Amino acid sequence: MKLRILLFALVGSLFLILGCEDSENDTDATEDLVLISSGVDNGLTVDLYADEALKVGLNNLYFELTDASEGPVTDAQITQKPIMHMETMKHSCPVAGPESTSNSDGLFESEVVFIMASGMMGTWDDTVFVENQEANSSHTIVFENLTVEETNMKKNLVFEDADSVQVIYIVTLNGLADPKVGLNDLILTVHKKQTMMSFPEVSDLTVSIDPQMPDMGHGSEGNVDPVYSENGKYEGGVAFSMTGYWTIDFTFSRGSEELGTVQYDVNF
Amino acid sequence: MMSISKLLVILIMGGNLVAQSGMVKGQIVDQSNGLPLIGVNIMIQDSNLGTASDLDGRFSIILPEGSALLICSMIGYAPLTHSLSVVSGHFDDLTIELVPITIESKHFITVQGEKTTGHMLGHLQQTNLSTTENLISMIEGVGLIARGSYAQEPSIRGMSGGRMNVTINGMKSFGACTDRMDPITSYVEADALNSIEIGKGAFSIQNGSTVGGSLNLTMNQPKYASQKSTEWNIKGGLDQGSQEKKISFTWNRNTPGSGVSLSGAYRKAQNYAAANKQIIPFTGFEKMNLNFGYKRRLNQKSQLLLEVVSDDAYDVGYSALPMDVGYARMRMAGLSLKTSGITSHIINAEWKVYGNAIDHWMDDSEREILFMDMHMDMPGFTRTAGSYVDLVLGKSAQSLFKLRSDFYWNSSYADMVMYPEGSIPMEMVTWPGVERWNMGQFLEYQSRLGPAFNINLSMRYDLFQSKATNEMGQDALRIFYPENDLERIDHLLSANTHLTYNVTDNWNSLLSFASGQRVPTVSEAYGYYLYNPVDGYLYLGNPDLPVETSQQVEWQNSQTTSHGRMSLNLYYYKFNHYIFGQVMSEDAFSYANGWKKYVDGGAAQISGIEWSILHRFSPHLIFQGGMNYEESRLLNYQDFLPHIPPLEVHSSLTFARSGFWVQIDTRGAAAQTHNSLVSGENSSSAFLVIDLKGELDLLPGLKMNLGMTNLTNQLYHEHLDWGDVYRPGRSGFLSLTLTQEVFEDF
Repeated sequence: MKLRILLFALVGSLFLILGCEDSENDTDATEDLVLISSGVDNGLTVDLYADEALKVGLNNLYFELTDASEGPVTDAQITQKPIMHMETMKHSCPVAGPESTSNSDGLFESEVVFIMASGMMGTWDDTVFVENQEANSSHTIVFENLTVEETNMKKNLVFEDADSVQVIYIVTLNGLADPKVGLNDLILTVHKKQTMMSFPEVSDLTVSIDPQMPDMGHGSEGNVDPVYSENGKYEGGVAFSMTGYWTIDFTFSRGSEELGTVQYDVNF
Repeated sequence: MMSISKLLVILIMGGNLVAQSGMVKGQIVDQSNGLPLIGVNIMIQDSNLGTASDLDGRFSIILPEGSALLICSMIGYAPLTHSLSVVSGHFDDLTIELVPITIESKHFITVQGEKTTGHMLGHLQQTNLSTTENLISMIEGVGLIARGSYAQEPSIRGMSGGRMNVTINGMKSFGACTDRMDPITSYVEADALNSIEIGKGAFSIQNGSTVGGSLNLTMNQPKYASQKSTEWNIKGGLDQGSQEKKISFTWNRNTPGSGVSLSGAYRKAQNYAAANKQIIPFTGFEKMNLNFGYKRRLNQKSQLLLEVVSDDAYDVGYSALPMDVGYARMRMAGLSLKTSGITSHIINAEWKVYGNAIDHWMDDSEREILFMDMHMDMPGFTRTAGSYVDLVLGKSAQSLFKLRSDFYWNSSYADMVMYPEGSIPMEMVTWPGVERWNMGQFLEYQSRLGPAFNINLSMRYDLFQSKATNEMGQDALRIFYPENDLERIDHLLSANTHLTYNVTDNWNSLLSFASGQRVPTVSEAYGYYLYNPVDGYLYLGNPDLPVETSQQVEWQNSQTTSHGRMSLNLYYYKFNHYIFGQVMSEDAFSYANGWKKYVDGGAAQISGIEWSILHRFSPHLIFQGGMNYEESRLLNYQDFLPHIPPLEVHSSLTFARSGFWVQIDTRGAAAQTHNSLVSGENSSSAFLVIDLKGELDLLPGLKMNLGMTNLTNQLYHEHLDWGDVYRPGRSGFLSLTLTQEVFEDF
């Protein structure tokens, strides 16, 4: 008898556990995201989310569109233009996306590489144009005064091209906010600074990685040279054999021509 | 130690003849615990008469009148000869105490009824300043790897570390230093030592599977006494060369039903000078050792034993390394229940449970010249707990079964933090919290097949589970072993056979075959960038290493004469999957030559010869000498194996009278040019050193030891010494021992 009760209790608790897991899967996709800002224009609410607080480097931005009468919008043409407003000038930054359909969570994903922190020097805003194909309406929303934190993960790769014209590639290193001993996945972004408003991706580079510990005079084994994936991103890995002060050199080449090296410092 | 030595001297010197009829009876007991010994073989020299002790350890035998020589022998005990006069119609009731064997080589223990003895070194005299290592190094084929003047690591026929199994009273224990600076032997003081059991090769597998040998240190145990008594002694000694001061004491309280023993030793040494007067820096140390034992008879056949060992060392210098040891601490406790004669088939049973903890902290705060110009800490910790059950089964003395089921758990963690000036600390985990579980089953069968022919078979199965549990350490290792779960399960099977044949009464021939396996050590499987100062490489563990195996064949002959003994051993080992550090990169580090990874080094072999002799010129003058030589090969690398000793010789000449002895020890080695190049080992030169020592009873209860080591002031180091650091030059020593025994009335 006792055994049976125990069995029931066991089975019951098992269902409970499984039930809990199910309900977790149903929770709002934005739960793990940070709401950066919201705007309303003509019946359309646009919520701007990110994985974490905005920072210099690669940021995944998510747009959630809700129509006042129709509810969530999953098909829309969205374009965005982040602008840094400084005293004497303004500039944009590299942007990719979003796609015209939302992901399975109803979010429109995009990538923005902030190349400067907000603060005394100026402020960021992001102007978003939405063509709601379902309701056949157009909307413009400006997210103002976005806070972008400094990271020291943005560098310029400056070299001269064949015509002796100076070329600037903007390089950011991402994924090492919380480094650990072992292999750390990292993403580099490389975009050409064409004009103040245009930053096309650079996709044809060969990148080699060389981490060093200046205090020890050694590097590490097991690093993975970053390889181009999409949207100016190069994915690779850095192996830290111990904690401490590390430098990481990335050397960029196009074909057999070496363009230059940028160096990052990592302390942990 | 001393009393056992004397017993063996008696054993060797005894010998007289017989002629006519009377009855002799008595009881045979274990000297260490007073328990009756069952199945002890009792032979009468130069006759066909003999008997064995019964379940109460008693025996009786009718002998011809005249003087007779009883030879009592039992496996695990030093054989004892007892001379007596048999008078017609007179009953002699004897109590004979057998002593658990002192320094023994497993091969010398032969099955029931043999006349062979423990190792011939039994008679060698030791002084108060002798260390555990000194004792071990007097055995052929056993050497010491020195990294300073402290905590030398034992090596058997060139095999050490994970190829050996070191236990204390059968208890597993693992050093906490990633550089093997704290072999377990360093946590035991010679004063507290009762015996050292040495098994060469894969023959001695009772305490664990091994390929290279085993070493079991047994500690002094409390004693029973027929009369309540208290005995104590205090020893003080001084060594001039290293200015080593040593004070030690023992205190025993013995009653018929219980015994308590307490002993302790304190040693402090400064840096010593080599023969060229040059002070070798970082060779000093300070050490304190305490032992406590309590034994209680539960009934006629059972007893309980509690043993506690505590050892603390401070500021231990390691001249061969860039760092010293801030402290090394060991705490160990064991509780055992022993019983004999449960049924007529279970002769003996023992159950033991134990645990120990070792903390080892390397640091360089005393150094002015720093490795890589920065301070660093390297702490290491091991925790071990286990239990075993031993059973000795048998119907008659003709065949015996020994069974052991054992279990232990061990956890090892070590890390390293470096402090570069003007920058942030750097940390890495070098032993990633490795948890290891072992379960083993041992079985030994001994049988007398014929009057002169014995067989001994033993087998062992082990199941190991090992796992790296520290997250930072796991991530670091996964740089090299991505996706590896860093967990391994090993099944080990070992077996061996000894066949003993008495060619003549005096000539004993032993042929042995063994097949052994061992699991990779924590460093070999999971070590992370462990620096080895011998070759200047960093070593990376390899969790995918196969199990190392060895096959061994050995032929031993020993001959006993009325004047002494001689023995000759020939042996050959073949290894497969020999674990070996292979160079992976030569230029990755500014401070190291590169890094190596432990790999399956393929096949290796060792073959060698050991010869020893003992000769009594007179009852007072005894000569003992020995020699060993071996050759090795690491086949895939066309190289030799590391740590292989060169041709070595040693001899001792002892002159002893009552209340006085003097002994000259000579030890030497040829040059070793078959050094392992792939291991970065240097060749070494020949040497010969002479030590002189003696003892004098000044007053009843007061003894003095005097002596001089390295008499001819040789500038030398041994092949196994790390960093080719010179050994001490000539040095005199003096010590005093005060002994007192007080009997109480009942």
